[in-house]
Amino acid sequence: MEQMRTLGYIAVGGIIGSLGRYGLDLLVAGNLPLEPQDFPLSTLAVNLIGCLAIGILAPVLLVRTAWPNARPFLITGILGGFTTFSALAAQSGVLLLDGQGWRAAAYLVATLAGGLLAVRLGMRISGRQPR
Amino acid sequence: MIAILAVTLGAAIGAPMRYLVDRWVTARASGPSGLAAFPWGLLTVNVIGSAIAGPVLALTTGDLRTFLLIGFCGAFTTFSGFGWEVNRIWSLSRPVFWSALIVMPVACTGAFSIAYNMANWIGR
Repeated sequence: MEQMRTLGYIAVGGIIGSLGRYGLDLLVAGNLPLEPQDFPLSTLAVNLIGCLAIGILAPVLLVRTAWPNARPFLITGILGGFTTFSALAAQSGVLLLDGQGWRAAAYLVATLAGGLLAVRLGMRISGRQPR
Repeated sequence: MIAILAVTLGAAIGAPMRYLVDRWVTARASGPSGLAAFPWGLLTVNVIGSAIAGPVLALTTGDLRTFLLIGFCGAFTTFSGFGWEVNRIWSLSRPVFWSALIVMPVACTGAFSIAYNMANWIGR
């Protein structure tokens, strides 16, 4: 029963996060950028914002456990649904198969390096030093 | 309007499935040190989600593509969880940190590209 409740929170959070990502795709790119001529700016933004947010939230939620479903709902659900690895892989794969290997590499490196820095920045904002 | 429902339905399936698969793999493969510190659960969900995106992009259009690609695959995979995990691994083991940082994107992009090419070839 408790397990089902947690799964429910993750599902609702996942819906909220995914609709946010979809909304940003529509807002920034007009559609999901999956053609080789598009630069996947909205997916890059989604993943960096999500990393910043997890850097702020995760350390706080590791300590305070007043609401046990806060972490499943906010992190596994909302942030997990908001950010995506499949779009990242699809976009870099489409660039790669189109012969634009350097653009694919630049996009991957920008996302990975930016994501790591965003998590660190988030942890600094939440006032907890990286361990 | 149907597109929003498609994303909602896909995410409602994808996000809980990510949690269950990640937890199942992590319980069996992960530990505090050495190769066990590698995020095997996240690698599993991200590679599976990226591989599914291949035939979806190659063979589907419209609302079905939105349901599977943006809804299901988008919610089944995660980048924020990966960013958090590799940051945590940094202080545990540098070799595992660097291998996770390199293996995850290479495996996911590779899985997508192979699946995409195969689906295009079969669907022709």
